[in-house]
Amino acid sequence: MNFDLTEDQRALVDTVEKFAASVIARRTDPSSTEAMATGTIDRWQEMAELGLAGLMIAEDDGGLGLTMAETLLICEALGQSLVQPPFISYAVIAPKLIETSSSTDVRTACLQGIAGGSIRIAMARDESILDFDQSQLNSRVEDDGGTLRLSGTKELVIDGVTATHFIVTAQLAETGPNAFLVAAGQPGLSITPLRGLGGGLIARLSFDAVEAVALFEGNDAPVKVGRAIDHGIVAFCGEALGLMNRMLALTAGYLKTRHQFGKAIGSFQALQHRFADMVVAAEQSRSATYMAAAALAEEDAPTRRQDVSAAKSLVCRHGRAVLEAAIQLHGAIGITDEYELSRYLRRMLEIEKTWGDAIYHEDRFSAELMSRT
Amino acid sequence: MIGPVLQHFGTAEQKQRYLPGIPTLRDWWCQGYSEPSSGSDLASLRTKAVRKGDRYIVNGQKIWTTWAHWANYMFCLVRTSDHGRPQEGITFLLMEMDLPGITVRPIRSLDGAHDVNEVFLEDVEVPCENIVLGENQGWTVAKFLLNAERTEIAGLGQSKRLLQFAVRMLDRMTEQGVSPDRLRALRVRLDRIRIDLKAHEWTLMRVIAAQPGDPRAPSASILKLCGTDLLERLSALLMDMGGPAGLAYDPLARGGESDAAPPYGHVLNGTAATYLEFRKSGLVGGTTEIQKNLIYRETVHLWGAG
Repeated sequence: MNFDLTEDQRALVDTVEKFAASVIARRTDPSSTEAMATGTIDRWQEMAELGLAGLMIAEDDGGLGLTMAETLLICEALGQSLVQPPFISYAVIAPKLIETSSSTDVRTACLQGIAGGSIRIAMARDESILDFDQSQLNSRVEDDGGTLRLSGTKELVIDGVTATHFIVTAQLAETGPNAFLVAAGQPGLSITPLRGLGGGLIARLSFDAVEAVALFEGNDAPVKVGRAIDHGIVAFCGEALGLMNRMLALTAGYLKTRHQFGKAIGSFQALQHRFADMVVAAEQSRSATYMAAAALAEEDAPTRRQDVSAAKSLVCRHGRAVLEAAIQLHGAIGITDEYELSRYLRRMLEIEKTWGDAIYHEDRFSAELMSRT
Repeated sequence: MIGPVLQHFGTAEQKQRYLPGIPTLRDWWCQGYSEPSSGSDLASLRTKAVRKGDRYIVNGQKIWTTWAHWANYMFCLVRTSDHGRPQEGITFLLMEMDLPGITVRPIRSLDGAHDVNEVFLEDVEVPCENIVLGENQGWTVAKFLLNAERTEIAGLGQSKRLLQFAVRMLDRMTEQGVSPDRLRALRVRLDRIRIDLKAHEWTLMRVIAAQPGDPRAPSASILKLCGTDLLERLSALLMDMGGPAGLAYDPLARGGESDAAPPYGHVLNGTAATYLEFRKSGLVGGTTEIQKNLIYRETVHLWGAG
């Protein structure tokens, strides 16, 4: 196997790192929800102009036609600098689902718009706030004389506040669960912005007979939604790798410069061992993430789901361990709001709680394993 | 913390003046120990007190001072001599927080709350009678207090409170129909914590029951270490129990700076708040690494004879 980057990939990483640096240089403390949302949309437009919004979209549909390998590189670079654009929602999960839609019109219209940055689609699937198992689906769609109308509530919609459209899962009377495209700004749709653990915005959506378009004709919507979200999960693992990189760099620096008892604290064996644990956890996370990225290409869904769950559960566990070790090695400075470490911890927790935490994915892993026997 | 110190080392005047205000909560004390360059290596502290007649002139900076913004008194470690070992030049000094030259600056923690502070001391004049034990005798007092603090940091009450929180969360999750596999995984962790907490409580009773200097008594550092472990695990368990709802955390509701209820209520907001708050456990009152060093030093000779 060859894990070296090609020249194009290196150039891509360079582009993203420059973008992230410019975002950090311009960062201001957002005063209001509106200001935060406007800032996010502006930054997303900049990413689209760099071609990043259409990274995974086929060249015929206006994208770059690149793969999960490039997506991981981007996510890692973004994670490292803790710039959190809605990349995974808008440029990974949404196009991965839309490209499988049975409607040619939806495919053509959306994919071009996504690549250009004008269409920003957030995935609205979750209804339970206490369980990551979201198989209970209460949102419903009624056929109102040829127009589909969706009603229900969706919780914790990542990047929902700045979306132009939503992909909403709901039960369609008679045919069962499906996914629907719903444009924001319609009557009957209300969006409540919530402050996220990591400082960003999350949406709570309420639909009252809102016009919707079905994405699929058959009954395989849950499978397709699951596949698109699996792409997102692996991308989040990639972002977590970036967070861990930054923690290693920050902690290594601190161990060398902080002096106690007349020497650098990095000269104490107990702390060296804790640092070594961080390195091991980060490397194992990287291996698991690469494995899951390879598994996304699998036609066999149980194999794919198994590897993706293995990666997400491992990365959640190890990611938290790396962050906690970084705090311990930094001492009290590590638990101040002002120091960057605390923001990385909150982001790691957000990643854990997005599309399933370690416990959920361990259960899913074992369920897939058992379905084999 | 300060009560036992004054009872043990205080003069008759100091006892009379300071002790009555402690149980009635008339007086709030904060602890001026850590400095920016003196954390684990506390004895290297540099805040200087220079004698001038019947007063000390104190200059320096303390950090991570819990509740300094509410306290009206501070007990403080200051350097009064640069001779000999660093421990030999430290004095334990009491001072009023409203003295001219004392400035308190808030430090916001990662959960968004304001508990700890920086305390700047600039030409603060403290009467010499505010010394506890004697000039350059402060390290003896500091060690006595740190030992008492470690018993407090055993955090039995806090652990029990978090345990109740976790039990209620589990009930709520069961009512809300959370999947059995998830409930089981969380229950196993909770029960393991319950078991360890029972042992922790008995260790604490053995420490309290022992006479000073009893070699059979467990070291207070064990209490600190096990208490930290329980608080870290309980708060992590709560974080996981919060499930998806933990994504929406409102630090202002945690910090009491906003009347608005957090989006999923104070209880679910509290799961994330608790996790973030207790990341400090392995650091406060002597880090886990320092506690392990102490346990080794205190015990190895007891076992090493064979």
